[in-house]
Amino acid sequence: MKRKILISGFGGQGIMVAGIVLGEAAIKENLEVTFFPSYGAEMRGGTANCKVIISNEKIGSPNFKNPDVLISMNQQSFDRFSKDVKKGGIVVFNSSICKAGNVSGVNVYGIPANEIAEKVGSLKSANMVIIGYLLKIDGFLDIEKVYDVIGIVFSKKKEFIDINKNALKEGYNYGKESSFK
Amino acid sequence: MRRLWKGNYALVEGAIAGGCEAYFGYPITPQNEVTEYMSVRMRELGRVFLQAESELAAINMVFGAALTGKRVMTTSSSPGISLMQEGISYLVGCELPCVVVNVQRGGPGLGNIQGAQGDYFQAVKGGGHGDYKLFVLAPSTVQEMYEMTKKAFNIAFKYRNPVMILTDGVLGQMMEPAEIEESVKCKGQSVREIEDLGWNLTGCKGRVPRFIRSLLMGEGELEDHNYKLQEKFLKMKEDLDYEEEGAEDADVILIGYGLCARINFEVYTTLRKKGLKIGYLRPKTLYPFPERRIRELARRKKKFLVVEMSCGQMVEDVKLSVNGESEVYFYGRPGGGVPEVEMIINKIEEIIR
Repeated sequence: MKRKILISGFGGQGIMVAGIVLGEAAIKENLEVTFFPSYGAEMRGGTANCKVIISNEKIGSPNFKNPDVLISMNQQSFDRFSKDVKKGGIVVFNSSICKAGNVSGVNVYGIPANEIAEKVGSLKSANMVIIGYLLKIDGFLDIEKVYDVIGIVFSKKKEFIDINKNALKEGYNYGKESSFK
Repeated sequence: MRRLWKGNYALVEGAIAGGCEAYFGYPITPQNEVTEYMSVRMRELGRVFLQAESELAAINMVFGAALTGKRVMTTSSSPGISLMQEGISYLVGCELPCVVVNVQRGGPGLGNIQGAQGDYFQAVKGGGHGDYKLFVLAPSTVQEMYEMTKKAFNIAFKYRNPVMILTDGVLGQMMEPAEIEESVKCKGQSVREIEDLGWNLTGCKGRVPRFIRSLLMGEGELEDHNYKLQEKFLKMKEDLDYEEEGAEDADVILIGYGLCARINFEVYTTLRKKGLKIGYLRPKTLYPFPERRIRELARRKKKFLVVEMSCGQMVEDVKLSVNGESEVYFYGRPGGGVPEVEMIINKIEEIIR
């Protein structure tokens, strides 16, 4: 098992946190994981991305060009990175503020993450909505482990623990209802 | 408990666990998290944190604090480390222990802020003026960012010499699982208490004054001092460290340090699964260098492929070690480029053919 995941969006959309949640959940499953953020001047202009590799073998470089999975939280991310996704890979995008462009050879899934996040209590939890949806599409991590780590990752912001857990659940359930291959 | 740790933060916890009592630094990407996190942690622990006005100031503050026998440290990235070279030469000349971390970025000049390995020569061949060596450690994982920084202070005091941790922006910025115990404040700890180590400046009340200097103008004085230093640099081989896998029956051995060693390991496991006789060797100390082991393997006609994030620096030390007994090949990318597994595999296929 190996997944190279690129998470990209605006600063403030919880891009880094989404990567850390996946990473901590991978540790719970005794998998190897690396996390590599965009940093320095790359962050100017308000975009952020992080690269997560989850594998059952030791990981070489944490950086990569071609992801298996792209999580696109805004339009710029879709336009910039969807062409880099490996053939047969997955693009999950936030359809509240992003339209799917023309990409071939990859599986594209949209979810209105902003609306769902607002419904569970905070727009800021859109990142967890989309993680939940991804794990329904591609179950490389046990969703239960992700619930567990939310408590750890948000231990300093206790009021967000339940909102994030609900956001994750809603994203996962949205996956159950929608039809995909 | 295994948790995700950022390389730069792990390095700070390593320094604290290694007993670092004073940190002097100046911000530069990609090591800013070190200065940032130090500013919080050193204060929590009642130790010294000082943001200097420049890298020159920082290394000279290290110089001053090191004179008192305290465990001191500074960190920077490539251009900042260049600025520190004069101070580092003085520290070696005065035989003062300290830890200097270089979270390398692309060069020359201001370069960029991607991880790179272009400062190998500077780290292991001196860097500043004069005949000298630093003890150089090269971590390859976030766990090692912690372990090696912790260990660096003991080595610095064992040899009374600066120790350099040579790492890069990728290892500094990345996160991966590591087991790290966050140090907490111990009762009665005070940086103001100065222990007499027999050489440090403690205030000479009741004893003969000591002199620590690198200006040695007496006839033959500096020559003798240099011989003494050289003896010490040779003695550092006691703490030589490297790891290898599959080298014994290998036809081609991959050599790399830091991030490149991780990539090499991926290549090694991939090709071993295909039945190719590939070996893996990683120097954990860059000075001292595992030259004897490499020569031994070269005499058995094993070929070497050195992989670096540079146009080829460590490859020269491998060639010196091999000393013409076998063939040495190189693959590298400069300026922040990271060697890719597929490219290294192609290179190996060329060598085997």
